[in-house]
Amino acid sequence: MGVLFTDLSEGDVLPELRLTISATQIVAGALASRDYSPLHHDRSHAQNIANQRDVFANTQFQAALFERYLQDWAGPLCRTARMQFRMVHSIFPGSNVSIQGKIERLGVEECGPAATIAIEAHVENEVATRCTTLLALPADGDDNPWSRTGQQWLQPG
Amino acid sequence: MSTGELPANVAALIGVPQYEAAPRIEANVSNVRAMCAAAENANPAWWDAQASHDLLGAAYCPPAMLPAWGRPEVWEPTGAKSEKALQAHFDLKEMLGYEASVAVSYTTTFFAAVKIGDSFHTRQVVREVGPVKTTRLGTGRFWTVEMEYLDQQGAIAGVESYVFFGFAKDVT
Repeated sequence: MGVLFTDLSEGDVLPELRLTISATQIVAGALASRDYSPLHHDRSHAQNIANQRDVFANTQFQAALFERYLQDWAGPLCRTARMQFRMVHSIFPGSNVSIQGKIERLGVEECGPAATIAIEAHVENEVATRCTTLLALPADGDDNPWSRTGQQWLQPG
Repeated sequence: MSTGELPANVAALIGVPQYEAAPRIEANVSNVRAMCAAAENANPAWWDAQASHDLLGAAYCPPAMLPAWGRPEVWEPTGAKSEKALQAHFDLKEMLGYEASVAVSYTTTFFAAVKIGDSFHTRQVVREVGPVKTTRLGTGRFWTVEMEYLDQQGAIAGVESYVFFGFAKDVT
């Protein structure tokens, strides 16, 4: 089920995901992540205090969108080990978002067989967010990245 | 800030855990479903506990939801004012006298898989405060603040690492 580590090559481009983000999704994503900042649910606050044109997607909702994108492609066994974000522009209600990733590196990392994937979310042809994800993948049909613990997975420090 | 020397009260914070907080909420199905609905994530592992067991080996949560399990409530019956998320960052900004700050990057590392029902202590750590630099935004410093999530045994399950640039707009 899904993508195996051995199926992939560095430089592979992942399928594009296009979606139009609604205000409801932005508010629902913020509340699901228990982020109660008014920047993500109160248009008046976003406009008058933060000088934004509307409420905008919080980081955790964007992280959830990227995880969905990766799981749509790789299948349910892929496991996120690390995500690094750089926010460039905000994602607002009505934003037409295009998400696409490219495999920068493949190798046996601290989390076992994994791909480092550079993802960009574009809004109207401008980069909104860059996210580099270290994604653990099954080495073969019998491998489950979710069973990796101890020395088979990332360790603090 | 016009000098490069780090104030002693700021230097004393580096590497010292602050704002240790008891578990606030268990990782739960309701928040997971709400997030997957918002993101339109159809992965069966997040919608059906049996599917999660069959596919992954246990009822796990999406890794990127880790921060949800450590955030304060918007109000608590004790009447105590809830601290801001990442209060250590706001403290630094005030101690260094910078009127503005921007988040430069944000990295989350997941050291353990989170199961439904897990709960986490959190603590904040100032990891690094850099020298005074001038950028197009103004003159200030870069700093790194981490939020650590510790499981019931005290092991670090994940870390959010934020790099900020705090600056004075009117100093060149």
